[in-house]
Amino acid sequence: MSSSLLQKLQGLRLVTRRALPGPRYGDLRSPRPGLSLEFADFREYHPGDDERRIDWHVAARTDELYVRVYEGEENIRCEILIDRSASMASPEPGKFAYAKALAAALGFVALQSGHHVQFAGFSDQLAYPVPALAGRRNVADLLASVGACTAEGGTNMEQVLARRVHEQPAPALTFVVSDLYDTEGFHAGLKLLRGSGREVVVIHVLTRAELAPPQEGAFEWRDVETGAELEVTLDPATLALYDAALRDWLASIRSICARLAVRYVLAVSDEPLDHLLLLTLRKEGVLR
Amino acid sequence: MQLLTPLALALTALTGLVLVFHALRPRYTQQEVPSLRLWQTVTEALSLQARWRRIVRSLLLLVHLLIVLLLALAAAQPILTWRGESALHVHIVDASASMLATDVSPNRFDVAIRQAAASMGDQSGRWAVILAGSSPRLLYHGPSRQEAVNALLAAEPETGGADWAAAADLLATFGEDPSTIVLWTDGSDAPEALAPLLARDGLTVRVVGGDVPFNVGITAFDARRRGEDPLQYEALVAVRNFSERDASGTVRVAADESPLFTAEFALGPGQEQAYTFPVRLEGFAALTARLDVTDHFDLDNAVQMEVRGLETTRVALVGPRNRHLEDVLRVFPQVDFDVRLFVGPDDPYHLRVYDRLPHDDRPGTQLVFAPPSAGPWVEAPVIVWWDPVHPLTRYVEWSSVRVLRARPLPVGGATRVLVESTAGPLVTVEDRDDGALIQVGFSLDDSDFAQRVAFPVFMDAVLQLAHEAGRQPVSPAPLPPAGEASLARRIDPVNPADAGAPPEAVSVARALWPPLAVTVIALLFLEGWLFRNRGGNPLKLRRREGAFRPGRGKGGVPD
Repeated sequence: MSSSLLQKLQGLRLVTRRALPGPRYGDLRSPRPGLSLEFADFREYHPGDDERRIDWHVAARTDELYVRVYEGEENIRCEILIDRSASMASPEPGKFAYAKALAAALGFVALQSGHHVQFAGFSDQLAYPVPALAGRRNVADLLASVGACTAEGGTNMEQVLARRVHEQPAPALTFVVSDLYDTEGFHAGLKLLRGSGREVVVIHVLTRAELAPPQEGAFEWRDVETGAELEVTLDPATLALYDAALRDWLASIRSICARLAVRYVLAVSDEPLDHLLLLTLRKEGVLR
Repeated sequence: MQLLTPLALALTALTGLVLVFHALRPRYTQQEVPSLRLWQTVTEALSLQARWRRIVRSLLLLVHLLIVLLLALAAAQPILTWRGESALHVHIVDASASMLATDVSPNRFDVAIRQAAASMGDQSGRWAVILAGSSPRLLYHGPSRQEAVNALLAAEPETGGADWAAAADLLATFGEDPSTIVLWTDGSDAPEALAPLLARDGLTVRVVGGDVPFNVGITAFDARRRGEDPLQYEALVAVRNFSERDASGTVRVAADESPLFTAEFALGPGQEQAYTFPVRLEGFAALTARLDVTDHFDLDNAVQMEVRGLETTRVALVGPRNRHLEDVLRVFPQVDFDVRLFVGPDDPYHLRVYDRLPHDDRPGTQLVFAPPSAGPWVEAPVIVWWDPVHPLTRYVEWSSVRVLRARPLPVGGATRVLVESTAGPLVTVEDRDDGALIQVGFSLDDSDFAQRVAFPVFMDAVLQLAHEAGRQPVSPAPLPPAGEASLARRIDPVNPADAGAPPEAVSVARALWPPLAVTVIALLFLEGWLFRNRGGNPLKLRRREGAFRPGRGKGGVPD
């Protein structure tokens, strides 16, 4: 990431659709009452409450003691789960590099906002290069751990996400950055994430060639993850069929996300990263 | 449209091969891809795993099919024919000697060309005029009626026969079927001779000439020496009545206007009478035989023959006396020979015969027996071959000649071997500027050649080669070809119009394979251009890239 991009990212904040409980005071709305200036409600006075919060006007009208309750503001736990399977880096590494840069940028935004950040890469296993980080001083560690992440192996999103929910059941804001070729595992894992109370943002990263194969000819393709081979002759008719299959696939993914109230963003690896962060994610309400 | 080789249309089966090539899956480029998930869906829809694929409509396939079809059509050699103003009218005029007969006025040939010219006025299209003489000639071929008429009227008859087969060949070179072919003839030739032309479809035969021609002609006129007297000759003249009625008249023979012989003749139809009479001639004389008779064919009524006085052939026998040579030379009356030991440069001999002596280098013909310059003696050589064509050896049976010993002759650049033996060449001849050098590799004393009949024959040929005028003093009289004097009609007129055949417009043919070949070449260039540009069509690429607009709306929405 360039320094200019980091400067732009310093003004960004994470946005959640609902209040998420955090480990400590922060700048996001908490489901628990707090000490902010935003009035939330009244409740009956109980011994031990701060007498300074008793609303004496209400006491005068009702002859009972009520205290003012204010909304709490806490930081949150932010999970960034990046797909590091072989399909992300082969045959061209641009997609994986783009995903890592995106993860680093989101982690930087979370850290500089005071949130706790947990970065993990997944393929058919889940790997935590560093423990949860908090505070700006850990930006370097985050960037280093993201940079050291390599792509290899297959994908088993259901197993990986189930393990994540089991290890960390607390609600969090979870970013899933993947090409989502394990669509069935993605569907099952997303259910588990949502069931644990997480708010999930799915960023679907694809290359331009995956969206629109530009060439015609005869090819013998090998799947980098499964090793399966396929002979394909590309001509206008075949490309038209691929176009239709791609539309159906993307529509099914969007449908899954919509049913589970998950925010979905399709990113193309040759799209400028600042364009995604500063325009698309802000427009989608992920950042502000 | 006609096809000259319709079997070539079987080449259209190659279109199947083109389709196979288009259906056959090509060689694959191996690549790694992130996932085959979507492509497996596509291949299930297209069944792309099969060996064959569905043939897609493409301009390249269309061009390939067109190339194959056009090549097959060109190989079939299509001929486009149509009927119209370009009809070709061919007039063939008999120019043989019999067309000079005057049984019609002024003669048959003149009547024929005038009638042919008149008939052209009723025709339209193009014309060709063929003069059928001993060597048929194309007088005109083109669209101008006037030029065709002019060529026809300027034609002249010949004094020989007509080569009808050559005329038919000339007609075949036109490369198209004429609408009309008219043969103008007197019909005096045999139908067998005219068969090549009569076999043509649509041939019209117009016969000119009277119904009862009358001709009495000289059929032979020759002279030969008689007896020992070199100035005494015997002449022969033969007269024949070619007509169907009796004929009578006088035959006269004169030498340089001096009457030599006169005889009255009376001949029945088809009869011939020959007369022989002695003539004494000194030096050159022109003998003329003439018939005093009025008939329709003057060409055979007067014949001229040249007779030269016998010239002496002077021969020098150089060397020791040889009885065989002297005896044989005495047989030839025109020969005057001398036996010499030496021949000087100024001695006027037509032939110098060297017996076992070397020849000289002076002009003139030399005959050398057993030349010392030849190779060493070889005992009993056997003659194995001789030239059956050369005048010196063609009438000699050389295989029966026995030779005791001989010197094989050297063979130079201009030397021609006439007799070959097991020892080498035995008779050679070398043509020189003024004469020839004839060498015989053996002596007459060493063989039985001098005792054989072949020896005087061989010497006669040598003398003729050395001095032509000494042997043949008579130039035979040129006579009209046999058959031309018989003026009677032997074929009937033929008019295909009477048989219902359409005489007017005819098909004009044009070969179509050249434009087809040019089209195929152009298509090959187009095919190359299409092949080079089929993968990189920028319009297709832009269209494909525009299929998705990622980042717009919710997560990138396909169009």
